[in-house]
Amino acid sequence: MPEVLRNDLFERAAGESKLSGFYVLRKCQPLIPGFLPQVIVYENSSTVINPETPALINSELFRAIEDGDIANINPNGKIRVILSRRANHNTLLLTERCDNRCQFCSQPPKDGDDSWLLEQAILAICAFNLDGEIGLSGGEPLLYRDDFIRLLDTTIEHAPRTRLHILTNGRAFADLSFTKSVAQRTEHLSMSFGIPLYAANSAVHDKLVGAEGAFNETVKGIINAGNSGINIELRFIPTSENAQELPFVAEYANRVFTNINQISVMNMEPMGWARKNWDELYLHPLEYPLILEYAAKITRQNSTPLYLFNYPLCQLPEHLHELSVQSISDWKNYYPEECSSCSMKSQCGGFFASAKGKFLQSPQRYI
Amino acid sequence: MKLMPFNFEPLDEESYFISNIAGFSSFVNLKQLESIIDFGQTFNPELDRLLENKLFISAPSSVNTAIASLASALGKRVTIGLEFKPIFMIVPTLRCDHSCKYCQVSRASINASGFDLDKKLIPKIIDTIALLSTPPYKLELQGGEPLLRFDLVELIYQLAEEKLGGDSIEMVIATSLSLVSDEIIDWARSRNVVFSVSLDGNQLVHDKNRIHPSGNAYQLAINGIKKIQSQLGMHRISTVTTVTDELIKNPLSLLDTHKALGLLDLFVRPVSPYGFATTRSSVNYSMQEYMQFYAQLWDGIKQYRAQGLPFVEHSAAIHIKKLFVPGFSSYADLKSPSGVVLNCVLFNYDGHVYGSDESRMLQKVNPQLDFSAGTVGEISFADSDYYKNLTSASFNFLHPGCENCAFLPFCGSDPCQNISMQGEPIGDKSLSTFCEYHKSMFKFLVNKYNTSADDKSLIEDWIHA
Amino acid sequence: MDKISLSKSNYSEWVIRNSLYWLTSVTNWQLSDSDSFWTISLKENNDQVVSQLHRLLNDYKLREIIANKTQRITDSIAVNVLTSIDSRLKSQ
Ligand code: SF4
Ligand code: SF4
Ligand code: SF4
Repeated sequence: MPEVLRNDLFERAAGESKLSGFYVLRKCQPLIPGFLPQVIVYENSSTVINPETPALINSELFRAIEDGDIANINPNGKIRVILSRRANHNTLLLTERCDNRCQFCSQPPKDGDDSWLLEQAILAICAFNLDGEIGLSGGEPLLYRDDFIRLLDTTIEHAPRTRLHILTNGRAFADLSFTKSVAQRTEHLSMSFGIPLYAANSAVHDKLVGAEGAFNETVKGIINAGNSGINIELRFIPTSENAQELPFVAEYANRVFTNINQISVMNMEPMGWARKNWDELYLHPLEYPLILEYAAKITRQNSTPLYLFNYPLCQLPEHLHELSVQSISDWKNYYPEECSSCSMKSQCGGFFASAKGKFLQSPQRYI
Repeated sequence: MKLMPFNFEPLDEESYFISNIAGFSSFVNLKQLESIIDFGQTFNPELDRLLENKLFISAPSSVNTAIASLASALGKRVTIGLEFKPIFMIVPTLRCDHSCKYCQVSRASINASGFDLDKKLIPKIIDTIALLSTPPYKLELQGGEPLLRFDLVELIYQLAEEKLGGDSIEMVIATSLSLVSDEIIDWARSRNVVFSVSLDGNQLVHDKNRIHPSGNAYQLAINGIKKIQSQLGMHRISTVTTVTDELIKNPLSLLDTHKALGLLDLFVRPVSPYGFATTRSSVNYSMQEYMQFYAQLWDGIKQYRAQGLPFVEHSAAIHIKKLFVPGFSSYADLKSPSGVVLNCVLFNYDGHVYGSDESRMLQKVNPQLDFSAGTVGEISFADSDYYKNLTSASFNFLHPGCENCAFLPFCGSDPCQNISMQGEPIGDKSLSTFCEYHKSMFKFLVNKYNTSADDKSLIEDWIHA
Repeated sequence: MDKISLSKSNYSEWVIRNSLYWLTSVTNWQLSDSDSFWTISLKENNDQVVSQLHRLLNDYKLREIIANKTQRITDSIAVNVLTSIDSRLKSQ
């Protein structure tokens, strides 16, 4: 287990009842029947009040959660807190299927029907009933078109203060009638869509996402969504294949697209297929500062801001630090040894927890 | 690769500037241009990739995407252009203590009567502004000389502050500064007020056309500028320069005059061809001569910048922003649809309301026609045939001449000027001063951008000016 | 007045008229035609004017090719724009 800032993974004690699935974690009585079954978490056995109801006795877990957090307990007894009121990011996986095959996908898609994930997510969102943001990701979360609309409708009905941020490849929005039905819901529920565009041309984009025709659908999707009033965060991951495309994507976004709230440039995460293709794709940030600078210049002229995510500060020229957002989810980032004496540590997001060995570029601390 | 529609403009024997309706632009040489047109590519992979990224050519399988993109970009430009973000101009009096040779609005002499705004109309004007727009409200006091009726200026500000909120108003007073008293300075100190003064060059140049009975228009302006700078701060004053025959011969004098005052921002433009200006003897120069003047001014600015004086000339900066900043459309005089009404509403001293300063000038020259949208309290732009025609006739992508022009996405239209010069709102571009001036400026700037790294970096600086 | 003759098989009316449009600012001109020729009479006929005219003619020939090759695309852009402005206005 890497030393991340906040742990989200716990073990069920050997003797505990064989709970599995999604649960609302409760710290106090009474249990009110709701969208998901509930389980009481006790700090130690002496605090157990009602031995009749399902319970977990785990002091570490008890200290890590708030009343009403949501956990997924798998049949092997691993407890993952999937929605936490203390986390800086909460994300639900809607499906592992996808119509793209991105060379750097951190969650490599799987085939086969997994629509139960979306059903569970609906229940989890409603049970959690957060006044804040929940991320939805995949796979491709819009793949199950109508079910996704149902997710929106159920959220509007039962957890209307939730703000959804959906990470999608945007291809579904090429279908204008689907786009319209999502757009109608934006009146009742705050939502925004993170859509990656890796080039302003099909050759480069389609190659990176491993799917012919993806560029056409994604671009049309962004046009449709933006013109329908749907909020979009445009995403870009620089690799050795497409770093030089960034300024073009930035200009394209400003001239062609509407409703782009921000452009997010994200450092590649060494997870999934990115690990496998690392040597071909990885480009050290110091090899493209001019490109970042130029793209930032283009966007500064316009009202669309550009931000950098997941960059250790020591990998950016100093004048770009102001664009860098300390962003890595708190269960994903860590600081290698060297960082402890770095004067930037408090502003720096550090490294992905997954960046170890050859995936870790040595930190150049600021003294 | 498939050819997509675009326009081009020759810069010199070899280079061409190309652009498309989405507002993407680039440079190619004649051979490349011909190759793009014949084969849909230049066979230079890097350039072809650039042309594809900017929608000049498209992969055969992406043609529909390119069409959707071009359409979305054009739609975006038109929608932004149609946003109603007016500057509100108010004319407290048409009287003036100067009698400048090329004065555009004509003026009333200082003792004339019947040329001042009726106090009682001011609350209605402010109500109308509140109705028409949202904060921040930009108010511009024009003349005549607004400070002749400082009492009205005060009242306008006071009522605007009460009704619209002190933090949401910005007032610009266009004045010759001959009348800035300590009282006015004190008043301005705690208010959101800036002054804009005409400064045409050094004493010789300025006094040649700007006539004050004292014979000292220049000295009065300079004293006023210094007074404002020292008591209110440098940022409270800006200048506007109208280029006359005298200045044309000596461009650098303008920079020296500004430098001596610590003013590094210029706003330089040729004499407007409206109504009275061209019939006077102060302008005999051609647009070609103007551009020669401008080129010298440009070089002078570059030299000063190299010495650490970052001059900015805002006419060029506006053209540059139009070229390189998608969505920049806040400058009323260079946009399509034109800024008439959409970007300007003018309340004249006599209570009439106009959709632009130029409309008020047209009124002056053609008193038999009605160019106003009614009077305060009873305005309708939609009921006025003049404004309806003006707005619909000002979409430049429909104009003959403009439709094939590479500056089309960045240029504007000036229906008022066309009416004044040619009698109808669209006009023949080959004869239009508006077209000649803006085309010359665009050409000058893109040519500089394309040919010299120095000029390019200056231009990129001014994008943010 | 000097005359310049241009073959109709080389220059379409569109090219001739557009070129002459911009020549107005340089000199006065008159246009007449026969079955196979355009005849342009120039009031001022010096090298500069003539080379200007030829440059205009060449540029407009190129523009004509672009226009012909992209006509269908231009039409569908027009349809697309109207739809996209519509939907944008509706979503506001
Ligand atoms: S990264 Fe690409 S392949 Fe992976 S889920 Fe996202 S769109 Fe699909
Ligand atoms: S040394 Fe560590 S804390 Fe310092 S900038 Fe680099 S990654 Fe950030
Ligand atoms: S007015 Fe002149 S410069 Fe402007 S778009 Fe029309 S033809 Fe071009």
